[in-house]
Amino acid sequence: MAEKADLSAPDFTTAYDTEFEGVWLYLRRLGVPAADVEDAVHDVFVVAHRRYASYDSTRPLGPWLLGIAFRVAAQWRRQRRHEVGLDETGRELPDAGQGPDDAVAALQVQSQLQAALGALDLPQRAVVVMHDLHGLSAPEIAEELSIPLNTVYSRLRLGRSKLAVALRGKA
Amino acid sequence: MSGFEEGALPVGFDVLVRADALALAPPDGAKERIRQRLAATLGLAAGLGAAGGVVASATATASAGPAPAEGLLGLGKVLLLKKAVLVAVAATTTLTAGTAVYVVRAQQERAAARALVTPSPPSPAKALSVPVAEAPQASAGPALGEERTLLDAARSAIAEGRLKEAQTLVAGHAAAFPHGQLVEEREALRIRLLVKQGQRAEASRLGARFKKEHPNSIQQPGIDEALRKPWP
Repeated sequence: MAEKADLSAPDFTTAYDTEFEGVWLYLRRLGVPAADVEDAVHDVFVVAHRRYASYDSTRPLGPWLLGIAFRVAAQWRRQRRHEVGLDETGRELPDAGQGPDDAVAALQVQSQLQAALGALDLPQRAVVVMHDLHGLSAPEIAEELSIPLNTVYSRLRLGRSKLAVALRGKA
Repeated sequence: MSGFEEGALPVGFDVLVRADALALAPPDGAKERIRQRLAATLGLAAGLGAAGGVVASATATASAGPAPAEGLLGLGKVLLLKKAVLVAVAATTTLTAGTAVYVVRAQQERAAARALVTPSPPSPAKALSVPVAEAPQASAGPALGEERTLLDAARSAIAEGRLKEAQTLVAGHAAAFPHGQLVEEREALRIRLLVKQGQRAEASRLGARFKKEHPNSIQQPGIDEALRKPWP
């Protein structure tokens, strides 16, 4: 392990053990599919390891890792946009060739919430998932995503509205 | 569902979140698989000990890698490889069937896994692995997946004694990613390879240069250990 700026930071093994599931769930909730999520989690912790020497342990570890995970997921979506069916803003497109039986099968393997989150573009989705599913505060989100606090609140409000509509449509 | 207000969470949202967490939870073994991959990628001798205190050795992980070649590599399979990796390897020397099969197999396995989850037809032009986004402090370029694939293959080749093949892969990485994200990992592998090849003077020279260029590298303990080993 490289020298740490702050020795009170948890060692990397502990960080992996405690934050693995949160990172996994966050990536899945941003739309990284099951077939790719192991690679994505791996890449998050590779980047985290490289930056761990400069990690400020006065900041909570989970949000810091989710900030890295957001960038990994964003890159994945840019690369795979045409393969997984995302529109220009990152929302998941309905499958035009999907018949009624296929649609039922898809819903069975996709949680109701996950399906509704697909209606949000990635920036809104990232904020809603961080805040409402992973319990981060708005200032934490602003810091980890490098966006103004007002933008967090705006994305949260708009994202929640869209989510509500999407959930209502699936109820 | 009812009870929504604009900008507010829907009634029963907490129930949905719990169901979502159950639906998306990592499968058994995923945590340990990724732990071992991380130990190999990062070259950690003791950096990612497995749960229960067992230390995951990079060498042990590498030796548990893919099996040797199973046959000749067809042109069609070669074309599945991403351009950067092909250029990297082709720029140096001939890729052996074993290494190429490893790289292709890794891609095929991922495509097969994806097909199980997503019923859409597989695309022949899929990237080898998930690339990494740009990070604000330390850049994590989009080619990290390709870098990792090359170095994983090189690490396996070293562990299995396929030293010429490992040399090809390390050189291929250097050609394709001279300033890549895994440069330190590559140079550490190069030094270990030289040790295996019995090139003591060159290994020591590169070891000294590495220490000077990367004084705080996480690779340093592993390099020191390799250079301390008895020479063949």
